Amino acid sequence: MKTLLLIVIIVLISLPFYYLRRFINKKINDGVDNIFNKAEAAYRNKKHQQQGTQNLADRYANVPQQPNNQNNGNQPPQ
Amino acid sequence: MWLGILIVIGAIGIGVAIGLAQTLPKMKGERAKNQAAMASGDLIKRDTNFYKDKEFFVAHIEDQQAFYSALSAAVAKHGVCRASGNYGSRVVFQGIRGKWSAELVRIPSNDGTVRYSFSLSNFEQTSASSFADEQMMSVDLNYILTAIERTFLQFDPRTQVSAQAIAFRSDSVVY
Repeated sequence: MKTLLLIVIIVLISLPFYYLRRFINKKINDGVDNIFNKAEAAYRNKKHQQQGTQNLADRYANVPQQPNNQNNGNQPPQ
Repeated sequence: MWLGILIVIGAIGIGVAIGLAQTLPKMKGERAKNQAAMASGDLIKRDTNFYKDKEFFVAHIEDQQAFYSALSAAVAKHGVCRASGNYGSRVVFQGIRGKWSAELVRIPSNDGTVRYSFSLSNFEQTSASSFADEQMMSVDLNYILTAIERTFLQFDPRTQVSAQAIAFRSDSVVY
C-alpha cells in the first residue's frame, strides 16, 4: 500500500515537469520556426522567383556526360 | 590534486585522440568517394541548402513506362535509398545510411506534359552530430536528385525546372 502511494506521489510530482518540458520545447521550436526557418525560406523563395523557370540542361552544361544506353524514342533538341 | 587533474586531462586527451582516429579516415574516405562521384558525374555541385527546396520538373515524355523503368534503375544504381511506391503517382525514398525520406510526386496535368515535384519530406538526427547527419543526407539526396535529373534529360533534353523553398519545422529537444 505504501509503495503504491509512493508511486502515485512520484507520478503526480513528475507530471507538471513533464508538461513544462513539452511546453518549453514547443515554444522554443515554434520560435525557431517563426524567426529563422520561415525567414530563410522567404529569402530562398525570393531568389527562386528571380531565377524563374530554367532549362535543366543548363545545370549539366559543365558536368561530365554519362553514357546514355536508353532508347527512349525522343529526338534531341534542334 | 595535480596528479588527479593530470589523469583527467590525459583521459580526455586519449578519448579525443581515439575519436579523431576513427572519424578522420572515415571523413577522408567519404570525401574521396564524393570527389570520384563528382568526376564521373554521379553527383553535381549544388547549393549547400539545396535539400531545403522543392524542385518542379516539366517534361514532354512519350514512352512513360520506359521513363519509369529508367528512373527506377537510375535511382537504385547508387544504393543510397529504398524506394517504394509507383513512379506513375508517388515514390518515397527512405535513406539507408540515415533516417530521412524524400518523395517524388507526379503532378496531374492536362497539357500533355509530365510534371513531377521532388522534395525532402523528413529528416531525423541519428548520431551525436547533426552536422555529420545532415552532410550524409545531403550527399545521398544529391545522388538521387542527380539520377532523376539525368533521366529527365535523357528523355526530354528540354526539361524545365523550377524551385520553391520549404519552411521546415524543427523538433529539436532543447530541455
